[in-house]
Amino acid sequence: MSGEGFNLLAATYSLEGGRSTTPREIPCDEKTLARGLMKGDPQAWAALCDAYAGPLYVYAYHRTGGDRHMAEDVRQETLIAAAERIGSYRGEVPLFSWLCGIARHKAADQVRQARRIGTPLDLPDMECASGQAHESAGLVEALWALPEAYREALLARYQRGDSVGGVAARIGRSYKATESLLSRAREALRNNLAEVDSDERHQ
Amino acid sequence: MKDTSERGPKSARYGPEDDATLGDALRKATCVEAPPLEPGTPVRLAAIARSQAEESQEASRLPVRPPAARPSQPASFPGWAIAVSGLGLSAIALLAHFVPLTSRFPGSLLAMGPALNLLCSPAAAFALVQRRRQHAR
Repeated sequence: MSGEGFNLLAATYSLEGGRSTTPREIPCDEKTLARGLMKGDPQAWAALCDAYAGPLYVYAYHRTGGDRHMAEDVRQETLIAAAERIGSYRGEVPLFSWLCGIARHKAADQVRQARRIGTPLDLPDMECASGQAHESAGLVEALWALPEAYREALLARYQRGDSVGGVAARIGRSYKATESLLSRAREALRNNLAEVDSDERHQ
Repeated sequence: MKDTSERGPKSARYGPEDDATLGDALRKATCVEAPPLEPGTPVRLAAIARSQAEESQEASRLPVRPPAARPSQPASFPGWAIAVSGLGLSAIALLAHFVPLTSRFPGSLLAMGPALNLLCSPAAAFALVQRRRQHAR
């Protein structure tokens, strides 16, 4: 991550200070980052891109039903819109959730436009795909709104299939502490998913 | 991937007993590899944000213009016309009171009342003129 002043995720969610007992907790460093973004600080924007450009693409990919070109366009448009609107970011939700909110609309526009033109024959069947795709998108949003310690632990344990002992060795914690961390991480993920569900229902 | 579509809200899933489901869902959600951003994207984004910030600063520095003067209100019914009309009516009433009933001209004086009132009331006169114009058309 570039910009030491904005070592956002690593600093905020250090394993020693693993927290986030409540969903949508906005860490102080994210607020610092947001201030840098608002001023147009290139370091802050580089930090944002380092942290979120990847997951934002994955989110857009699911939202567009698995179309890589559309996903890339959505990511680009989302970042530009974020730069234009960063002044309106109030820090009420994590930055990644805010980005996902923009991306959701951009993806819907892209899909609508593609349907209107009707040219790509391989346009994914959004009606069929939307359920699972949106679930995946929601999971990406919920996962990247988590503290990094939680996210890393969850990915190591459930995505890569590491044992609890393996995760403990990886993060340098005791077995018991890792179990506890995983439990809190799952709880936080559930809370975030509930928030994502609720946001989607209200839109 | 297990079909989880009919198992209630997402947040209700992935409980402790459901590690395999969570694993499947996470693998599926994160299996996509994101291409890198175009080089220089952060710098361009920073420039956009900076120009937006400058614009909003400029806007906040601009002197606040006083609200545009409201157009003068259309002339209301002239108060003086009402006053004159009232005076006319008072005069008629006084005349009617003091002129003895035996006088030779009480009837003509009283008959003058409406005429005098009409003369004293420009508004009534204006209305009459308007009506005449309408009739003339």
